[in-house]
Amino acid sequence: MGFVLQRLGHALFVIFGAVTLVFLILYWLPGDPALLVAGDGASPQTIADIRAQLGTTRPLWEQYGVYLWHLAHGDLGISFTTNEPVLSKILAQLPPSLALTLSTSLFAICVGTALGLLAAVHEGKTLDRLIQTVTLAITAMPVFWVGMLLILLFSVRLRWLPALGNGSFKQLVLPTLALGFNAAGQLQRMVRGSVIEVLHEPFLATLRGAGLRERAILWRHVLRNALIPIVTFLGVIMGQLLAGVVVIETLFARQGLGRLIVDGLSNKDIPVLQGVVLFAALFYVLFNLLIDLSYGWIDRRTQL
Amino acid sequence: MSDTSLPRTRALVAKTTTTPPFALLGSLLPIRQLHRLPLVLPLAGLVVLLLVACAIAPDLIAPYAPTDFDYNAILNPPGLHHLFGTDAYGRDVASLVVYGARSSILMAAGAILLGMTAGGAMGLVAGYAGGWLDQLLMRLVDIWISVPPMLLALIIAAALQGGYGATIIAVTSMIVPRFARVIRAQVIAVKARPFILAARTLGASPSWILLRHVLPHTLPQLLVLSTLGMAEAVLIGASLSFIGLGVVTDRPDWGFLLSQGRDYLTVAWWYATFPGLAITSLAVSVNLLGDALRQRLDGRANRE
Repeated sequence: MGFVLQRLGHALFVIFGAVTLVFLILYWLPGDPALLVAGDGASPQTIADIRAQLGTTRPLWEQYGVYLWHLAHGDLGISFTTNEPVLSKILAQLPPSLALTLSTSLFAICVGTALGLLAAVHEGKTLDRLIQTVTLAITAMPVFWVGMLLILLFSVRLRWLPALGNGSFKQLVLPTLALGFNAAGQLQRMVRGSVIEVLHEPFLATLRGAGLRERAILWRHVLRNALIPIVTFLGVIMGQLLAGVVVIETLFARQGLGRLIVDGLSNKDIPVLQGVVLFAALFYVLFNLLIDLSYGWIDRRTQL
Repeated sequence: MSDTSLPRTRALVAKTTTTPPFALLGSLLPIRQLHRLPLVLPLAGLVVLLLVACAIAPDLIAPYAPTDFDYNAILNPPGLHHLFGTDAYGRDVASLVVYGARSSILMAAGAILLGMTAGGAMGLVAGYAGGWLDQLLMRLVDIWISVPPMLLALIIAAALQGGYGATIIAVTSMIVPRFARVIRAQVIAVKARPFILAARTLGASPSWILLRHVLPHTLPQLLVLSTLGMAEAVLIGASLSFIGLGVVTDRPDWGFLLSQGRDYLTVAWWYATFPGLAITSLAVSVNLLGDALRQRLDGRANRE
């Protein structure tokens, strides 16, 4: 219990730190949001009014204090460009991004684990080399380039799947593959490495000697013992997915948090940017916290 | 070094260090055996040499200049005159890719150099000093990596108004924490060895010990991290310019070429394909070389 509390405390500290860090970076975002809000041909008086209204002329510590105060009350602020509350903007764009992240994780976990196991069992043989080569190539490709190649093949040439937009299941396939190949490749490497290590452990000889079938040994004992590094690595992959979503949503012209970020950057919509990054950091830290807490459940030898 | 390469110990490290549990060198796992195949390493070396040559003297290699507009050859497919085809202005895509090498490789190399210096210094100081300074620096690293890496790079690039220098610093921001953690772990291991105590007993100052006795023992890690980080830096840089935050548009850059090619995906497959191929071949080659290097140095560390 003490461990859980300590971890939770640390997670809160890290999230608070991230909020501050992002606030400081965005404070130096160049350009005057008031000019963008006012639009062309606004009088200097209007611009000054808008500036005062947005609060961008106040000193840094005051802006930071106000921001924290509002945040503590669950208020993420108002978008500079659309005047909507940031929270509702984010909640509106969350489902498509969440769907993409979930489908990609699912794809990566299934394909990555299967290929990793396959490669580990055939260590050093042709099949292993083949899987390794494919993984090496796929993880070295920029995800958005993979996405473009997929569009070229499945949308332009074969006309099987739509390239752009979101809403239907069909439109989720290509973005999922674009992100998923890379994640699956990395996971494959991780699974292979840790399974091979377990495969060399002496207790397997005991199990074989006891007459257990190879399949039972592999699923029940090898995979279970290889699980901790694999689960740890899922946390790393989740961080990459959150970032990859930005690029992939841009490429496939999808709605989502990535779109909010890219638009927010060009519109200097600081509250929206701050909100999205906060959401991403929150999700990322909590996800890794859950992974940390799961160690004790996966492996009883891990003293929490 | 061996303590970072074993998945089993990595799980324990993840347990004792702090969330999110970034495996130290873990996200850059080895592609074992592939580089032991004949010809693979020489080939990788050749690709890197060729691309570096493109970066140094593109005018000697490219058949056309990046400013050779040919309105009689707009969007021509690959052929004898234009090996990789032409773009919407009749420019030779092969030449654009060759000229793009400079900005892409320089950017990655600059980011690695900066990241190595800053992250290495942080790791050295934190690991050697221990105590509150170590705590302070490592909590900073915790916060740093709690923002999903590409998001941080995005807002930093935007806050610095985009452009070449901004891209370098944005990519650096993703590299620093990893260097800091790995080097810190290595310094803590080296610090416990007898020759450090001997140097201290003989009256050497902390800075002398750090530079003359500790730093040399972190060189293998620095070398491997830099090589493997190079591939990642190229990929991130390309993503940033793909979103439109990267390198200035008047010099060819692989990521920017890809974002241009994206607009002509339906009519000119070659435009987006070849710049991506350049990025991928560089990343694959650098990864293979880095991994071979890592195993060689690992073997040496184990024999010691």
